Amino acid sequence: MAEFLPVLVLLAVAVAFAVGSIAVSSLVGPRKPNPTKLAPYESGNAPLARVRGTRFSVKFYLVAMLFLVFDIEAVFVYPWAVVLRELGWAGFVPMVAFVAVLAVAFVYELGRGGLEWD
Amino acid sequence: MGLEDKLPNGVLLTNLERFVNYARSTSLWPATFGLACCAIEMMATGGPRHDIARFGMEVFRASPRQADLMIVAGRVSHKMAPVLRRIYDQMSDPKWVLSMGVCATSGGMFNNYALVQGVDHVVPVDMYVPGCPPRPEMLLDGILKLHDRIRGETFAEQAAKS
Amino acid sequence: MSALIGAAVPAPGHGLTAPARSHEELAERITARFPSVRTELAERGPLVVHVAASELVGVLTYCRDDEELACALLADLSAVHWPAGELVIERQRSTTGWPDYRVERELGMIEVLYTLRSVARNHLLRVVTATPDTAPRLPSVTGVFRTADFHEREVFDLFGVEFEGHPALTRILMPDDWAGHPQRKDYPLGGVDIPYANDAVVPPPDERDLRDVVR
Repeated sequence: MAEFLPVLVLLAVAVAFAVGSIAVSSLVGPRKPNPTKLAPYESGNAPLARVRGTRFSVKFYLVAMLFLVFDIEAVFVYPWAVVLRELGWAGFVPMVAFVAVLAVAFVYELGRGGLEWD
Repeated sequence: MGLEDKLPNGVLLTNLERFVNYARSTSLWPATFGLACCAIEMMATGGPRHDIARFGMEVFRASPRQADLMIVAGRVSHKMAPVLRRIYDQMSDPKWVLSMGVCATSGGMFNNYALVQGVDHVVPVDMYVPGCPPRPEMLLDGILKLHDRIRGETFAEQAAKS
Repeated sequence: MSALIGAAVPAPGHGLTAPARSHEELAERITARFPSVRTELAERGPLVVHVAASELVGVLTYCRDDEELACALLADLSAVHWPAGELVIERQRSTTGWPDYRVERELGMIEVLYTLRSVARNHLLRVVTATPDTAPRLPSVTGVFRTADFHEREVFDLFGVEFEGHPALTRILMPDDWAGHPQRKDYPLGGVDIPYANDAVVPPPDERDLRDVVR
């Protein structure tokens, strides 16, 4: 473990430098706010878009949910694959049942167009 | 907190000011504001022959928030003037303006209805570089003179600029 | 060469070196379809077709759709202001030997020129129409050539010509709240006096008399 001490020191120095720079500049640096400076940058034009009124596509939520389900399935499959040889048939059948349940969900999702982005 | 703006003007700060001004002048990042022909000469100044990177200025930041120096290179029309002012306002302090070429300095050969006769009607200018367009060596001369001015500044002067 | 005339579009690298149809043939074709237009053939210049504002869209559509004319490209849309009254440009005949330039018109007109190019047939022609400068209006040709959108906005901004049927006719070069149309001949150049360090002052270019400035 002692070989990793320099890495820890380097990490500490990096964090100290980053935090120190930000702290010093926020303490000491000039502060002259005015409404135009605080407005969002739009290549010099007056800001047009309403930030809170912009809508967010629900497709992102759908992708996240699907990813979550099938990723948890993968998390279960990986350790099973490592010990499968010791378990034999008694280990094979429950996993097939598990995957079959999720495969039904997958087929349903395919049929309903859940994987179409547009 | 802006402690720098509130420091009193005095002898005690001279060395600190020298250090800070040296650091600021040697890492002055320009904002891209190339409008017309002078922009070509500004690009040539950034090229390998007249290298502006040796003065720490090669990174032309597209965002005004990350830039220190606005080089107004070219003609400013009346339609562009509010955009120029807004970009200047959105630059973070400390900031400087260099007016490159005669069109930005005084309207140049275009003495007419369409152009602002001198960009100092719109933003406060620290250095004027004449020329149509100024050769890269002339622009570098102007930039080095601006470096000298920055190194001679005090914190109080910079704080007084609004 | 004659075998190539009438071919559809030449293959790349084997282009026509001369237009497929001569200017006289094009002028005949246009006058056959629109008898009321006037064509003008200068010796080395392009074919110029003068039309009335009411026929403008018809003529341009014909030039675009006809197989012989085949002008698929509106290369330019510009305008010239010919003001009413007399315009004199003095040329100092005693020293230069050139006579003064004089034009006189009773009615002020704004001429709008449409330069059409045919890429397939390799020719160029110009369609010119005019409108009085007191209340200039013309039909818009954005339905025929989409590129006319910005060009008509420019002509509106700088000359004041209103194009009927244009999707969004607003100023394009001057700021949105500018008053006046700068490229008209009666619009002042709008310069400022130029002061010098030795207290000499030079007036703006349109108020300058070079005989005073240059000694």
